[in-house]
Amino acid sequence: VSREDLLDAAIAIVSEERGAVAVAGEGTLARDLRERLRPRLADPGAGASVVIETTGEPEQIARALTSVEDLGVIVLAGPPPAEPVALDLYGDLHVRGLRMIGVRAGVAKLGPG
Amino acid sequence: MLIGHFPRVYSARGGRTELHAKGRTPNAGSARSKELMIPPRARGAIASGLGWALTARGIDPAEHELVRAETIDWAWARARALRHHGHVIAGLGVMIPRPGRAELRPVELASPGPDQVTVEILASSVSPGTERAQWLRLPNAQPRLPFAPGYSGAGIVLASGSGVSDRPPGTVVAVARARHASVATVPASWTTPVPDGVEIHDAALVYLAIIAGYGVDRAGPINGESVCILGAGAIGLLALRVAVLRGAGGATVVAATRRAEPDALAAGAVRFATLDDQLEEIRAQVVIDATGNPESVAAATAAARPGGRIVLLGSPRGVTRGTPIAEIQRKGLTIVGAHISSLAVAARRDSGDPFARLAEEFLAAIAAHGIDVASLRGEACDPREIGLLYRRLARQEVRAAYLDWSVVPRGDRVRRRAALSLPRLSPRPHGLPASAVRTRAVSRRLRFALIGCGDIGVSNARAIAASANGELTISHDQVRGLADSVAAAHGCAVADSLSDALNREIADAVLIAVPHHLHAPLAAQAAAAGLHVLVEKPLAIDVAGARQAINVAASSGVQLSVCFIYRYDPAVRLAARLLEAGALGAIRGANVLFHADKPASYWVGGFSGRATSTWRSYRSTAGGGVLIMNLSHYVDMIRHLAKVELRSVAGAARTESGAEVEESVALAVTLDGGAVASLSASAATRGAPANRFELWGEHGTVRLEPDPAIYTERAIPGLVPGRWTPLAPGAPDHSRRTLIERFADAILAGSTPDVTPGDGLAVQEFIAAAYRAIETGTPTTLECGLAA
Repeated sequence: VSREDLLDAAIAIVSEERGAVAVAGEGTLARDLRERLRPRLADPGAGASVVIETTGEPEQIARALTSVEDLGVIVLAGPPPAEPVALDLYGDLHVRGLRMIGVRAGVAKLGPG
Repeated sequence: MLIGHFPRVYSARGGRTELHAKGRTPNAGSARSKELMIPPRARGAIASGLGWALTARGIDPAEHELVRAETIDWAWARARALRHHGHVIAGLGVMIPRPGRAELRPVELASPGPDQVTVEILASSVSPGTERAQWLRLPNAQPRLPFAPGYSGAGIVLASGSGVSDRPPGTVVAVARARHASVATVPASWTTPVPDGVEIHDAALVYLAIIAGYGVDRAGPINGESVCILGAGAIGLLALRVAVLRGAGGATVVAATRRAEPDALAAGAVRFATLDDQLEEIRAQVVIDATGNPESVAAATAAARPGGRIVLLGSPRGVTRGTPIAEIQRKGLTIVGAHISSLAVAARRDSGDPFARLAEEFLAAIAAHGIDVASLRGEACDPREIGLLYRRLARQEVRAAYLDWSVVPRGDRVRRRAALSLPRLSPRPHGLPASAVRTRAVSRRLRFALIGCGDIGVSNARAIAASANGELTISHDQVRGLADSVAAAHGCAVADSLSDALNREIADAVLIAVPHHLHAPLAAQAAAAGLHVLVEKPLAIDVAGARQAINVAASSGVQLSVCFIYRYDPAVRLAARLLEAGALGAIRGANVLFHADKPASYWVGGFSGRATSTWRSYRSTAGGGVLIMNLSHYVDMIRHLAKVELRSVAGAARTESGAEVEESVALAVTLDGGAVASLSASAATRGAPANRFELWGEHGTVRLEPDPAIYTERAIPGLVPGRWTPLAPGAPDHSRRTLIERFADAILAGSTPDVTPGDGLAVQEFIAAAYRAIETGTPTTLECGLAA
C-alpha cells in the first residue's frame, strides 16, 4: 500500500467526521496529513474528536485511544503491528463510545457509525 | 430531560469524561450523600457517630456499611419528601452488602416530586451477563458495596408528581434503570407506557432492549445488510430481534454452544454457528459482539467482511490481550464502542430522547407481534430468593430470569411510612415464634409402667406426670428403694416383680429405662405381655437384639418406639418443619461434635449417683462408650432431619488404658445422595466446650448446637432469606414431655409413633457398622433399606 493511498484513505475517513483532528506520529505520512488537514487540526493541548495514528506502535495506539474525546474516532493509519495488541477496549473504547477505524487503502467509503 | 436518565455522572480520568468511572457502577449511597450537600467534615462526624452507635448496639462491624447506606437512604427519602411536601414510601429492594451475599432489604423513597412518578414494580428483569459479572466481581464489574443491582422493570404508577399529566396513577409503565425493588420513584422520562397486549414481564425487559437497540443503532443503517450476532445471551438475542425488525438482510448467531440455537432461529436468525466453525465464511457487514468476552473481538474480526463494522455491545470483562490491529487494518474494519452510558452523552449532544425512542420501538414491536420475547423473559424468581438466583447465575444455570415482585406480600412491597419514623439501625431479622411447636392435648390418658428408676427413669417419670395425656400407674426397679421414691413422688403403685409391672390391667405401655443390655430383652418381654413399648436409646446393644425386640413387638401387635428425645427439642422440631418446607434443599453435609467431661463417679453411679452400678463401663452391658451412649442421639437427628440414610462409615476411637469402652471417637460418614458427615465425640473433654450440630444443603444451613439458628436462600415463611434466623429462642425445653405426649397421642389414636422400630434399628445398624469399621480399620458400608 502506497503512502499516497493511505493518505487518501485517511483523509476520506476524516472528511466524514466532525470536529477537530489530531495526528499522532512524526513521519512523512503524519506530516502530509497535518498539511492536508491544517484547517481542522486541534489546537495544541486541546481535545480532538478524531485522532489519526500513524506510527503503528502499540503504545501509541493505546495513547490515541485515551486522548481522543468521548464518542470520537481513532483512525489506524500506521504500519500494522506484527503482533496483536493489548488494549483496554472496555474503558478506552466501549464505555466512551469511540470508533476505531482501520485504514484500508483503496476503500474510500467505510460505512457509517 | 435527557439528562434524567443519568442523573449522576462520574469522572473517569481526571474529569475528562462524564461517563462511568472505569470498572465502577454508580452507587446510590455515595451519590446521594453528595446530593444532600453535606460538608465532608460533617459527613465524617456523622459517619463516626453512627459507627459508634452501631457498635454500641452490638451490630457486627461487617454490617456497618450496609446500615450506614440505609440510614443515608432514610435521610434522603425524608429530605426529598419534605422538599416536595410529600411523604415516604417503603418497600423492599435487592442489596449486595458484601461479596457473595445478596438479600432483600427495606427501601424507603420519597413520594414523587415534580416530573417524577412512583411505580409499584411488579417485575424486574435480570441481566444475566452483567449481574453475574457484578456478583462474581469480574473485571470492569466491581461496583462499590453495598450495591443495589438491577436495570429494568415494569409496574403500575402509584402517584405522579406535578408536571406529569400523561402517566396518571394506574398507568402500566416500563421503567428503564429500575433497580431490583418493589417500588421506585423515578423521573417520568425513565418510564414508558406499556401498550395493550404486552405482558408486564416482557415490558420489564425494556432497558435491556434499549441497550440492545442502541447497539444496533451504533452499527448504522442495516436494512438489507448481513448481520452477525456474537453471543446468545439476553442482550445478544434482543439485538438479533431488533436487527431483524430493522430489516437486516440475513442474521447469523455465533455462540460457544448450540444451547440457544432453536431460540435464535425462531427469532429470525438464518444461521447458527459455534466458535469452532469457520467464522471467516460468515462475511457479515455488521458484527455485534454481545459476549462480554474481551478476546471475542478476534472472532468478530474474523466474521466481518472487508469494510465491515463491529459493534462492541457486551462490556468486555478485562483487557483485550490480542486486539487484532493488523487484521482490522487489513480488512478496513470499524470497531464501535456501544456502552449504554455513551448514549446519554450522545443524547445531550443531539436532539431527541433516544431512550424513549428505543423503549417505544421495543414495546410497540411486541404489541404488534413484530418481535416475540417470551423466551427471553426466562423463569420467574421469588425476589426473596435472590441469593439463590445469583448463586445459580454464577454457575451459569440461568439463561434468563425476572424477579416476580407480586409473590411478595403487598404489605411488605408497598407501604406508607411516617416521615418521623426512626431509621432501622439493625440488619437482624426477627426470630421464629416458639409457639409453632405446641403439641396437641387429648382427653384420654395412656397408662405407663416405668421399668428402671435410676437417673433417666426419674426424668421419664417426671415427663409422664407432666404430660397432658400420660399417667404413671406403676413403677418397678430391681432396687426397691428407687421404685419407692418414684412412687412417692408421683403417686403410682410399685411392682414387686417385672411380671407384676407388665400387667395390662394396670398399664397400656411400658417405658424401659434400664442398663443398655436389658433394653431389648425387656422390650420383647413387655411386648409379649401385650404392652406398647417405649424404650430408652439405644434400642439394644447389638443388631440381633434390636431385631428380636422388633419382631416380638410386631408379632404381638403392639407399638415399639425409642426415646430419641433430641428430636423433640423445640429448635429441632422447628428445624424439621423448615427442612420439610425446603429450607436446605438437598442435603450436602453434617458436622457433629459432642463434648462431655464425665467425672470418674459417672462410671459407677451415673451423674447423680442415685443408682450404683458399673454397667456403663463394659461393652457387654453398655454396648460401647460415647458412640452408643451419646452420638446415637445425633445419628438419629441426622436421619430425622435429612431424611436420608447413612451409607458408609470409617473411623477411629480412643480407649483409656484399662477401660473397656471408648472414651473418644471420630467418624467419617457418607449419606445417601452423596452428602458427607463428620461425627466426633469425647466423654473426657476437659472443660466440656459447647457441642456442635450443623447440617447443610444446597440452599441453606441449620445449626442446632450451640445457639440454634437457620440460614436459607429460599423464601420460607418466618425466615429472612440470606440471614441467620434464631430457632425458637427462649422456648422452654420440654423435650421428654413432648416425646411422651407424642407417643401417647399415637398409641391412643391407634397410629405409629414418630420414632419407628425401623428408626431404632437404623441407628443400631450404624453403631454396629461404626464399631466394625473402627475395629477393622476398614470403612464399612451399610445395607440399604434398614429403616421401616
